[in-house]
Amino acid sequence: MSTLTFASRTLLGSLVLPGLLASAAFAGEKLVIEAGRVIVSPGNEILGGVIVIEDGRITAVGKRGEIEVPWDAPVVGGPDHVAIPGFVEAYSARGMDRPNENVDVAPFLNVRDSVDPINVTFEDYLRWGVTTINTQQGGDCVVGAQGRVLKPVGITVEEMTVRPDYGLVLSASPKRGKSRATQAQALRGAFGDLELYLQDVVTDAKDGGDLARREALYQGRDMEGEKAKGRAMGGSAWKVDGLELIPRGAIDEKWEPLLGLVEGRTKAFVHATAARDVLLALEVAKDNGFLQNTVMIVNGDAHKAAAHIAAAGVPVVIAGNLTYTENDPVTGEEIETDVIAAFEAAGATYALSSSDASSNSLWFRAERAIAQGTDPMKAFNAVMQTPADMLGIGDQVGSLERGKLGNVVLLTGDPLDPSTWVDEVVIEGERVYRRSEDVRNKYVFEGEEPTGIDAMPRTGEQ
Amino acid sequence: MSLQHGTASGVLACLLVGSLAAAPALDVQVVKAGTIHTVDASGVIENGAILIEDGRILRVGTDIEVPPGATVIDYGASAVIVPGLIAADSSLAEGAPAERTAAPDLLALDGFDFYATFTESLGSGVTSAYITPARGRLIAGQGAVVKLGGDDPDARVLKAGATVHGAVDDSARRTPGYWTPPIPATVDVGLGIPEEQLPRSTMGAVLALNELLDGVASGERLDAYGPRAVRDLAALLKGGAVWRLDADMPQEISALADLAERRSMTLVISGATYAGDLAERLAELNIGVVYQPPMGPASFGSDNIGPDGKLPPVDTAARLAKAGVVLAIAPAPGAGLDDLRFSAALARRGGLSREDALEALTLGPATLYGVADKVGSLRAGKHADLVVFNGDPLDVSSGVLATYIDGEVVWSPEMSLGTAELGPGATLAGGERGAANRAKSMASRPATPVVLSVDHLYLGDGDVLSPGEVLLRNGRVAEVGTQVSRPGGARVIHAPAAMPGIIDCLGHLGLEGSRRMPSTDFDLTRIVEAGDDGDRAVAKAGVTTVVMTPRGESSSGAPMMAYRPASADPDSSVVDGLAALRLVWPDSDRSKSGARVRDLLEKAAKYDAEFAEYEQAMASWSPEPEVPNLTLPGADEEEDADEEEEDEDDDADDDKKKKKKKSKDLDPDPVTGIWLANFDFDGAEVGMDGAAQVPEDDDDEEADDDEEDDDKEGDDKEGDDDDEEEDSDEDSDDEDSDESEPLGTESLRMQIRLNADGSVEGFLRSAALSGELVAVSGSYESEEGEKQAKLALSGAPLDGEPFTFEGVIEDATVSAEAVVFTGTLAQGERSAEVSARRDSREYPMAQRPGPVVADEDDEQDSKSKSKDKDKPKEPRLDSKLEPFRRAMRGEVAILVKVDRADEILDCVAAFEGLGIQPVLLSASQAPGIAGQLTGRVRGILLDNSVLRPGDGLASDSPLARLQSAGIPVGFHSGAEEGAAYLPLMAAYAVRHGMSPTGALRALTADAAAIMAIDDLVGTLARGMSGDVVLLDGNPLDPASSVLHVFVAGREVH
Repeated sequence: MSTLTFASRTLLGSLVLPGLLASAAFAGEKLVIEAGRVIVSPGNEILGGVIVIEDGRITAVGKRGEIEVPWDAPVVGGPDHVAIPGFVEAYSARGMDRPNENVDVAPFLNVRDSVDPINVTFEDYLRWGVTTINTQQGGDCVVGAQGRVLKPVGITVEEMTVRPDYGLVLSASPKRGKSRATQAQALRGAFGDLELYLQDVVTDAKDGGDLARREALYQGRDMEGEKAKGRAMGGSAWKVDGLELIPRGAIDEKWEPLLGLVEGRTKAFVHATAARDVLLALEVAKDNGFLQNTVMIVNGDAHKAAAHIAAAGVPVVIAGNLTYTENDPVTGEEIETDVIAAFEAAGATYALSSSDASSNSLWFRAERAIAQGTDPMKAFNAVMQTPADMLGIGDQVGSLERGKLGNVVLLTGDPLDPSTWVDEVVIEGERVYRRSEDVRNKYVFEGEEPTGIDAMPRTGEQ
Repeated sequence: MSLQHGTASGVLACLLVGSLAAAPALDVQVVKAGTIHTVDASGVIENGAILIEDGRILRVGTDIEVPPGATVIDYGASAVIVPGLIAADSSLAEGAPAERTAAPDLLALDGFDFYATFTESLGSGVTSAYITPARGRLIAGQGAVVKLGGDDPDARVLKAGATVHGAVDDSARRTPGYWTPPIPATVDVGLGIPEEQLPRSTMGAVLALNELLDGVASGERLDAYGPRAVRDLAALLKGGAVWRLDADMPQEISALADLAERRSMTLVISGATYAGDLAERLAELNIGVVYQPPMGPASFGSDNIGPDGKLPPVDTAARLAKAGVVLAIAPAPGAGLDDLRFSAALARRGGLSREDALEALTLGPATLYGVADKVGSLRAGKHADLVVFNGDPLDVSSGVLATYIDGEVVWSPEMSLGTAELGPGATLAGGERGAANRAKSMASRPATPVVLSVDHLYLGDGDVLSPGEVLLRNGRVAEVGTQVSRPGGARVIHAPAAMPGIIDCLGHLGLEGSRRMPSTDFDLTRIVEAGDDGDRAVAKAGVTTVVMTPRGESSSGAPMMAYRPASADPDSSVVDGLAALRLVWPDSDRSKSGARVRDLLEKAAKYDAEFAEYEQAMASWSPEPEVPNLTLPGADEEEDADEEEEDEDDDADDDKKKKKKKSKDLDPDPVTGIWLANFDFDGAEVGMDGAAQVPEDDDDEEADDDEEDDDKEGDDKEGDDDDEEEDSDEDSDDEDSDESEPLGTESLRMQIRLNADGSVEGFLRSAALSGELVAVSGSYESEEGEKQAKLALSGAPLDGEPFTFEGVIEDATVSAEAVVFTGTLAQGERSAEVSARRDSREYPMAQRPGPVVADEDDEQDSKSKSKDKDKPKEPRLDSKLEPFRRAMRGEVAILVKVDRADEILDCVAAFEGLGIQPVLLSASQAPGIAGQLTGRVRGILLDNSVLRPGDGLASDSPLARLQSAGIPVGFHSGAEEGAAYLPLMAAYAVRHGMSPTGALRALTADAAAIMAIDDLVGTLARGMSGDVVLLDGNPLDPASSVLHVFVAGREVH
C-alpha cells in the first residue's frame, strides 16, 4: 500500500466509498436489525433483540417476538451479532486537507471548506463504527474556524453534515510562535477587538454614518428577513448598548461567529492542553459569557487542573495519552497518572476523543481506558452518549433508544473481546459499511486487490 | 465588560467555592527560634515565637502562650527566622514581548505556571516573586507578584496587575515596526508597510509615555499604540498598578524622575546602576528602586565595564538606602532566585547595612509592589510566609532549615533529599541500574547535613581545634575547621566538645552470643545484627565502632569485622568486613607454642610467593603474535573437553575424537565458556548480544564454509586458532551491539563450566539480578546424537532473591554458527526470555593448575598446543590464606594472643619473616620489653587488668610505657554491651599515669590504625566516616556525659 502514489490512493478511495454506499440505494425506508445482544446503551442490554428503523430513525427496540417487525423490511444481522450504538467522536480535526490556518483570530473560517469527503479518515471512522464526528479546526490557533458535525458517509460535505456551522474552536494553549502570555493577550484581545468593533458600528449608526449597512450592501450580503432586523445584544457577560440599531446582516462576517459565542448561540471548543492553560480558558469563557457552552479539549497534563474544570461545570474531551508521565522535580522519580481517573475523581464530565491518540478507533480508545481501570460502562459512555450530549445531539445519537437516529454498529461478538470486528454499520437506517465488502481490509488481510487496480499505473513501484 | 485580570481572578475564586475552598479546620501552630527578624517595629526578637493561625500570623513575641492543641516547632537557639524573601524581579513568567511598543494587556500571570515546582527558590528562602510579562518594550505588560508555593492558584496571586512593566533604557529601543497582514489582502487593500514605533531614545520614550498618559487622561484611543492600549492602561492604573520602568543611566533616571514629578506617577525604577548621585531626588519624589547589583555570576570572568569606561559603582544601594529610598534587591546578572541572598551580599559591598539589606529582600519589594499589607514582614495579620535559617540570613554560608508559606512548610531539607543529594554517581546508578537500585537508594537516603559547632574539637590524632566545627554530609565528614559552611537544611548543633567515635578494638557485640568459630574466609557481615537496644546503649556511650570477633579461639585464625553499632541501616553498619585476623600463639604444651601459627605463616608465605612469582612471570611474558587462521573449532574444543577429564589418556582421546566425528560433529561441551546476553525483565524485548542472531554478511558465511571443509579434512592441528577467529568475530558483534543496544535492557555475563558428571557450575554477573557476582550451579542434559540439549541453572545472590535460568541449547553441534542458549530467566515474580550467546569457550578457573603437582606435566603437554603457550598460570586462590596476603600488604591486621616476653619476641620475629607487624593481644609482659618491640608491632592491646601499674608506686603505667616507646595501644572491651565502658577505662588509665592525649589517641586514631581501619574511622578529617561524639566536657573526664552521637552521619536516638 505504501508504494501507491497519492493519485492512485485518492482514486482507490473514490472507488471504495461509492462501493460501500452502493447498498444504500437499495435500503429503502425500513430496516430491521437482529442481534443476539442489543446494547441499547452501556449497561442496558437486550438478549435476542430486534431494532426497527424507519425513515432513518429507530421506531422500535426490543426482544424478538415482543415487538412488531414490519414484514416488508429487509433484515440484517443475526443471532451471532452484537448491536451497539454508533460511536460519537467528540472532537476531531482530521478529515480536512489541513487542520489549521495561520491567522491568529479567524472565526470567519469554516471547516466546510476544508473537509474532504473522500479522505481516508472517514473510511476509517466507518470501519471502526464511528457514526458521528464533530469536525473542528485544530488547536494551533487563537480563535479558529466554525466546525460542523458530520457522519462519515456522503460524497459532498452537505451530504455528510449532521449539524452545520456548529461550534467555534479557541485555544488557550500557545499556538506556534506565541508564548503563553502573548497567546492569552491575543485570545482576550480578540474579544476586546470585537467589543471595539461593535462599539464603532453602533457609534457609526448613531452618528448617521450607517457605514456598516452600506458596506454590507456593497459586499452583496443579504439583508432580508431576520438579517434586516436589529437585535439588542444577547449573552450574559458584557453588552454593547445600541446594537439593536444595527441590522444583523450588517455585522461583519469576520466578527459574527465570535459575537455568536458571546451571545451564547454557539458552542466553544477550547483547547487547554496543559494545566496552566485551563485557568485562562475558564477565565476567558467566563468573562465572555460562554462558560456554559464550553467544551474543553485537554491533554494529560491538564488533569492537575481537573478540580477547577469540574468546579466550573465544563465537560472535557480527553485527547492524547490516557496516562500522563512526568518526573518528580525533586527526586526525579517517574510518576504516572491515570488521566481518566483524575478527571473522574474531580467529578468532571469527560468524553474520549481519538485525536492525538495511538489509534483512530474510539472503540480501541475506550478499551484502553478499560484496560487501565476505567469502569467499562463509563468508558463506553465516554464514546457514545456523553459526547452526543456535549454536542447537543444527545437526543439524536449516542444510544439505540426509540426515536433516535438509526446509527447502529453490528459487531461480530462481545465489544470487549479483542477478536471482535465491526461487521456492519448502519447510519440513519442505511447500510453503509459491510466488512465483507471492505476493499481495503480485504487487500490488507487477504491480499485481494481491489477491482480495477491492475489498470492503474503504479508509478510508485518503478 | 471586564477583561482585566483583577476581576478574572475573583471570578475564578467564585468558581472554586464549594470544591476547593472547603472550610479547613483551624490550624494553630507556634514556631520558635533563637532569633526572629520581624523587619517591623518589633525589630529583632531573641528567643521568641510566632503564633500562626490558619496561615496568618496571629502574634510575634517572647511571651506567647501556646494555645491548647497547637503544634509547636522549635528550631533551636541557633536558628534565625526572617520573613519569606521576595524576589523583586524574576523571569519565571517571561515570554516573548508583544508586537506593540505599549502592550498593557500582556499579563505576566498568563505566562506563570502555577503547576510548576520552584523547589530551588523555596529551598533558598524565596517565597514570593515579582514576575515580568516580557522585557524589551516601553510598556511590556502587567507585572504581578505571586507566591512560589501553595496549592490554590488564586491564593498564590498577591497582586495581579501590580505594575505597568516597562523600560526606557537601551532594551526598549529595538522595538520593530508594527505590521499585521490585512484580511483579505486584495489589490485595493495591499499588504501595507510596518508602522514605526517609539522609542529610539530616552526623549522618544518620554514622549511616548506622555502621549499615553495624555490618552489615559482624555480617554482618546491613540491608534498608533493599538486600539485598546490606552483603555487597558487606564484600567491598569486605576487598579493601583505602579510604573516599574528599567533605567540604568543617570540621564534616564533623571528624565523619569522629572516625568514622575510632572505627571504624578507612582514610579519604581529598576536596574538603577548609576542612581547613586540622584538618591536624594528619588527619595524626595518617593520613587522606589529595584536595585540590581551591577555584577553577578554572569560577569565573573568577563570585563564588566560601564559606559563610562569604568567598573560600575558598588555603593549605589548604600547611597539610596541612606537617602531613604525604598529599596528592593533584584537577582544579580546571571543569578537565579536561589541566589537572591548572594545578590544582597553583592549589594552590600558598597556599605549597605545588614538591616537595610534584609529589608530590601522582604518589606522593600512588598512596599514597592503594593503587597506590604500581606507579606514582607512578620507582623500580626500578615501571611505566615517565613524562612528559618541555620545562621545569619545575610551570611552567604548559612542555609535554610525550612520555608513556610501561609503557615505550611513548603520546603524542608527532607523534601529535597532525593537522589539529587546522593551526588552524581548515585543518580547515574539510578539511571543505569533501574528501579531496583533506585528503590534501594531511596531506602538508604542520607541524613540531613549537620554542622557540629564545639568549643573544643578533638580530632583524634592528638590535635584539638578550639573552637572547631565539623560538617557531616552523606554519612561522612565533609569539612573540618574552625568554621565550616552551613549548607541549606543543615542542622547546627552547639556543644562544649566533640571527638571521633570511640573504637573498641576487640568486642563481641553484634553476635548475639553466638559461639560459632568460623574460618578466616567466613564473611562475618552475614551474621551480624546491628541496631538493637544493646547496640544503641553502646553507641550512646560514644563507642561507634566495634571490631567484633566471635568468642572462643582458633589456632587457624578467626576473622574480625569492624562494625558500627546502632547504625540506621545494614549497609552502613559495616565499617570493614574483614578488619583483622586473630591467632593464638601459646599452646597448652609450651614447647609447641607458636608451632601452628608458624605453620600457618609458612603456608601463607608460600602462597604469597606463588603469587609473587606469577606476577613477576606475567610481567615478563608477552603473548605470541596471533596467526590469523580460518578453521573450525574441531580439535581444539575437544581438547578443552578433554582437559576436564584429566584421567583420560591420549589413546582414549583419539578414539573419542573419531567417535565424535562420526556423530555429526556434536560438540562435547557446548556449555563451558563465557556467555553474554541482554534481556529485559519488563518487556518482550529479547536479544542476544547485539546482532549475533543473524549472520552478519556473506563474507562470514563463506568463512564458515571454509571451516567446514577444513573440518572434513580432519585438520586438527590447524584448528588451534579457531577460538581467536571466533573471538574477533564476536568482538565486531560487540561493537555493533554497542550502537544498537536497546534502551532499558540489562546485560548478563556468565562464566560456566561443564563437569564430567553433567553438572554445571560457574558465576554470573548481572546488575538486574544482583549487585555482586553470583555463584550459579545447575545441570546439563543432552541425548546421544541429538542436537538439542537442555541446560538449567540457578543461583542465590546474597542481596537479592534466588533466580533460575532454564532453557535449551538449540544447536549443540560444533558447526553451529554460534552456540545459543535460549531460556527463561526468572527471579521472584519477574521473568524474562533470554538468549545467551557463548562469547568464548574459555573458563579461566577451570584451567588453573590444581594443588596436585602430579598433573602438572599432562597439563603442560596439553597446554603446549594452546595459544597461550608459556603463559604463566595464575596460582589457585585460597580464600583462607588470602587474608594473610592482605595482611602482608598491611590491609588486614593480625592479632596474636601472646603474653610471655620470650614468646612475644619469638612471635614478632616469626611475623617479621613475612613482613607483617602483628598486633599483640593480652601481651602483659610487653611493656617490659617495649624497647625491643618498637617498630616491629602494629600495636598492643593489653588486658584490662593491667590498665594500672603493678605493685609499687614508682612503676609507671604500662600503657604509657608502650606509648612512650612509640608503640600504639588501644582499648578493648572483650565484651558485648561492656563496650560502653571504654571511655571509663581510658579515664582510669589516665588516672594511673597515661597521658590524656595518649588515652584519647588510644580510643580513636591509634585504635583505628592498629585495626587497619584508619582510612575510615578514628579521626575527624575530610572523607572519614561521620562518626562523632558530642560531649559536655573533656572526653576523659568520667563526669562528662555524651550529648549526641552520630553514626555514619545520623544521630543515634
